Amino acid sequence: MSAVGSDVPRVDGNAKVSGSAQYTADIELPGMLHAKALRSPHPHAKLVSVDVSKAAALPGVIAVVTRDDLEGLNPYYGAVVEDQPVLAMERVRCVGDVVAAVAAEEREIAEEAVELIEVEYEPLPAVFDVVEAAAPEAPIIHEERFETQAAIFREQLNLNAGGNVCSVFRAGDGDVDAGFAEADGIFENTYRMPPVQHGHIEPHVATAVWESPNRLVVHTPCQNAVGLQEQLARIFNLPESGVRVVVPHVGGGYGGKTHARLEPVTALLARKAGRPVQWVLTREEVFLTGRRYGGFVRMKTGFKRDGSLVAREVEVFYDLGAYALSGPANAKTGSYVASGPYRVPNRRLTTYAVYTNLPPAGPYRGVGVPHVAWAYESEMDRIARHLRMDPLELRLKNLLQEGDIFVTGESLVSVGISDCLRQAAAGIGWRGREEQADGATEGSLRRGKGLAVIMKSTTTPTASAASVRLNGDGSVMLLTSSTEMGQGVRTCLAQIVAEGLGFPVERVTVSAPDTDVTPYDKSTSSSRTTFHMGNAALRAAEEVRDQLLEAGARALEVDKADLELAATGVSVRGVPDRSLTIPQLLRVKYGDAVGSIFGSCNFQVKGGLDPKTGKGKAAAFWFFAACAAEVEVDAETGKVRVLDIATSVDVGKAINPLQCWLQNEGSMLEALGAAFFEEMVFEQGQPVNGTLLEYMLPSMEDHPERFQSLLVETPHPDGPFGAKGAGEAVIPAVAPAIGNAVANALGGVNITELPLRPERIVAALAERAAGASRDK
Amino acid sequence: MRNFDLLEPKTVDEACRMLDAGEDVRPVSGGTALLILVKQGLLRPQVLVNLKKLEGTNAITRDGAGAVRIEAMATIHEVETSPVVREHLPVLAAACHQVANIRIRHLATIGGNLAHGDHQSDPPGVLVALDAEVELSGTRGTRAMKVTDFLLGTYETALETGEMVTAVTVPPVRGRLVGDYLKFTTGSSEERPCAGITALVRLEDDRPVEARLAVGAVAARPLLLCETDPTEGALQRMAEHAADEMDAIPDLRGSAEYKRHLVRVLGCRALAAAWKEACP
Repeated sequence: MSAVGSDVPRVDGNAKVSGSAQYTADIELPGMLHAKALRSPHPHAKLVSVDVSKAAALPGVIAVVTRDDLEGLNPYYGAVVEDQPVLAMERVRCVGDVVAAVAAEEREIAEEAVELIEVEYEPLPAVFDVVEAAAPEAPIIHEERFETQAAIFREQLNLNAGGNVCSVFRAGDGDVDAGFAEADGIFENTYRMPPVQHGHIEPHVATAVWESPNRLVVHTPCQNAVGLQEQLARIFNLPESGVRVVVPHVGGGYGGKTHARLEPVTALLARKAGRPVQWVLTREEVFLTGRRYGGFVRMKTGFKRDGSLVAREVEVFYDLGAYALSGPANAKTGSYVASGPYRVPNRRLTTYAVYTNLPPAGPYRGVGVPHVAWAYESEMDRIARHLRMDPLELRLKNLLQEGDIFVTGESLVSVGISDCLRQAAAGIGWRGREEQADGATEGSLRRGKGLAVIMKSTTTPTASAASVRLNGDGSVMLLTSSTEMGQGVRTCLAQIVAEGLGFPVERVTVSAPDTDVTPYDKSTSSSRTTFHMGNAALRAAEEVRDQLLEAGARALEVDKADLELAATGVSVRGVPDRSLTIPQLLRVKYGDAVGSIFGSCNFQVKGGLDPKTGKGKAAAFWFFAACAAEVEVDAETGKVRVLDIATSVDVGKAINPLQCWLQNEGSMLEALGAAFFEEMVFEQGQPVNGTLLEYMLPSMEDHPERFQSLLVETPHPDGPFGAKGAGEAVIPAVAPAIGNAVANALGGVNITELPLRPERIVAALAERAAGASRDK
Repeated sequence: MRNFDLLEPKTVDEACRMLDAGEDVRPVSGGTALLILVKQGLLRPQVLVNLKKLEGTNAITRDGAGAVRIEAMATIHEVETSPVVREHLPVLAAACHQVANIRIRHLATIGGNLAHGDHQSDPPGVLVALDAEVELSGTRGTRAMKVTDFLLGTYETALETGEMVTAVTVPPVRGRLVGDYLKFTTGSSEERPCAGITALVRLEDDRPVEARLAVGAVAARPLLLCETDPTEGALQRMAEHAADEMDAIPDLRGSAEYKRHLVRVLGCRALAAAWKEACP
């Protein structure tokens, strides 16, 4: 059986299910201390003084750090803009900003010590709404501007836009004004999406130890070991080789663990204490540490009577919170797809990444796309209703096709989007135009179906490197910095390497990231690993394969092409007796039957956009997905039940179809939480529901009655075996599909703000009833 | 979380003497509510008295007259699966089955549920509808009172220092009760109720003689409305009356107005369903 394309069981499954898997919080180093932070209670304040003397004097306290301990270091860091201090410097910018931290013999002592720290704040005016924050009169959150070290971001983003606008990105083509002038109809609406939690079960956690003054070792469940290594090296003035980042098993990431979060403070504490320090955040602290950007979208669409889109103007505001992290890059990701996966000849698309005095956000699956997809897919259904067209037909009429030139100027390949949409719609029994007619009702219950379709880029340009090592016994090790965080990357990469060598999957072990050992990878994010690391791993495996075949050809005196490779060694095709084992091949290669054979590859994708024009190559590959849902709405209570939901993703080639199903099912359930009830609520910057008691995540009981994960396989010419990324694809499509199903169930009652809480639905129905009675 | 001493009394008397030491001493049984409060720093007990190991405090029995007695340390799971409760008080079994999730139900106790006084909970409203009594033991002796008098408000009960809940008793039902518990959540299915509606019709000789509507989780205390010799037409008035009466607490699950709306809609539905069961 071929390794690629089969449902290979997860290689990390047994360890995780049996409980033997070791996570960062399981690490116990000799002499290890426990950390706790003092956090700002103010959303914005000048930090007048910090007195830690009482805390430092508490027995059991070994180190207390404040801004004074950053002397001589580079105190500011950030993935794109270096705007985040390791510890609050002259001011705090959100509730939860870390002002000081304690390392003590026991966690309870650290907690007690934190309460003894005396801080004087001078509150400053604060701003929380993303649109208000972008206005020129808003209080300024970052007085100084910090440059980024990474050339890729300096060159490809419009940073320092002024005020609280951290960055602006513009894409577009055609003549928008002329487009609106020729339109038969124009719709203009605004949409809102609240901040939500990633909801990873494992909180942020790090264990740091200094092996010498020039050698820092950090264990952390990071999605981006190399990026973290670079940031820590810069903060502490070390060469990158002076920092070792080790990633144990990871209890979920979803984007929330892509960037440095608590590692710099943990390392600073360990440095001062001269002992290992472990910091495990409480769930309440996780709520103050990361989240999805809230978003506000203004969308204007011009269309012809026949349903073709002629013009679209979109403005999007992403709420970064107090620090940018990768916000400007993520806002860019939202910009060029803001008009949807549609042919629109005239468009002007602008996204703003805006600071607010809320806790920092950061990438969350789908990054900038869910916000714009919520808007453009809701608009498509409104237009369909207005034109009395089948929403499916309206979309198919406008969808991008293979070879189309996208708004970025690049030609699109592997565009299975129409198939995705057709397949998802068929999956729930879509009937056509009648889906927008008044549906079946039973008492207060109304049924409706809805569709949505999305496209997303993967971050570009990037690189991934991999190394494959063949041992004398025929076992194989893939060295990679890709993080397994539940998405199945270890299994998928093992399959690719096994296929490349012609070995059974069980022969291949995939490493965890360890920057002392595993080579460069941009990050495990943006659904990029199967494509990028898959390519690197495959080429590295092929290099090993080539060396074996060459040695075999030499010893057996045949042409390389006449040999075949299997786990036992090489043999002449059709003559199994003429063969050599792996140790024999090593002897041929090295003169002795010991040693290992290495193959390696640094897989690079060039590209990127010119920030002035928005043109260039936005993506190494594009991914496309659709979602179709049928719901039952209780019109009296506003409660929605999902009866049927189907997702379809163009994966290029399913390396492991079962994992694709699991990935899409997980995405669907995760996205349902954000569609129906997840919302981080703040009052004057203070979290109102910052616990898992008040902020509920979906449980298995919330799983729809029926779910189908459908796949389209449009091979990508550059993908390993034609594969593309699939991880995040479903996420942005779910909420608009649900929103459209609810709207269709209720005869066209559109709700523009997520989540679709029952009260919001009842209020929208009441508003329509009031409108109808006014019209009479 | 702060350190605390854990005391493990063997008898109820011993437990009450330990609890009498003051506010810094708190009882713990399942711990599902208490540990959250301690973790969040809202409660900082010096001493916890473990009631879970008290001997003979989790029986569920029915006496000759038909009263069902549930001892305080019975877990919510034990209540929902008890053959006695299932046969004689199916509405209570149904409500307990809907508490949080299976992990919580295996830990949380019925006594702890009442003593905690959380208004956003499933069992209290049902117990009020069933006219249940709570038995208390303290250093000054034992006493009993109606659950409706015991629950004073959000996190407020009639418990005094040194006193603990030992049992909850549902009195014998004259005739038979039909009806159900209707839980409504606005978020995840595991969420605490936004509204918990109990609608019961009592039949004597197959004739409806009384309708009861209890509303939990909406206001600080459950509301109970009873109508003797009800007619079908009276049921809707009961639900509307309940909605008007409720001092609904607004929160992230809904505004006060929305919650009163829910009481009206769900009260009508639950009573209509009970009526249909009573007079098929």
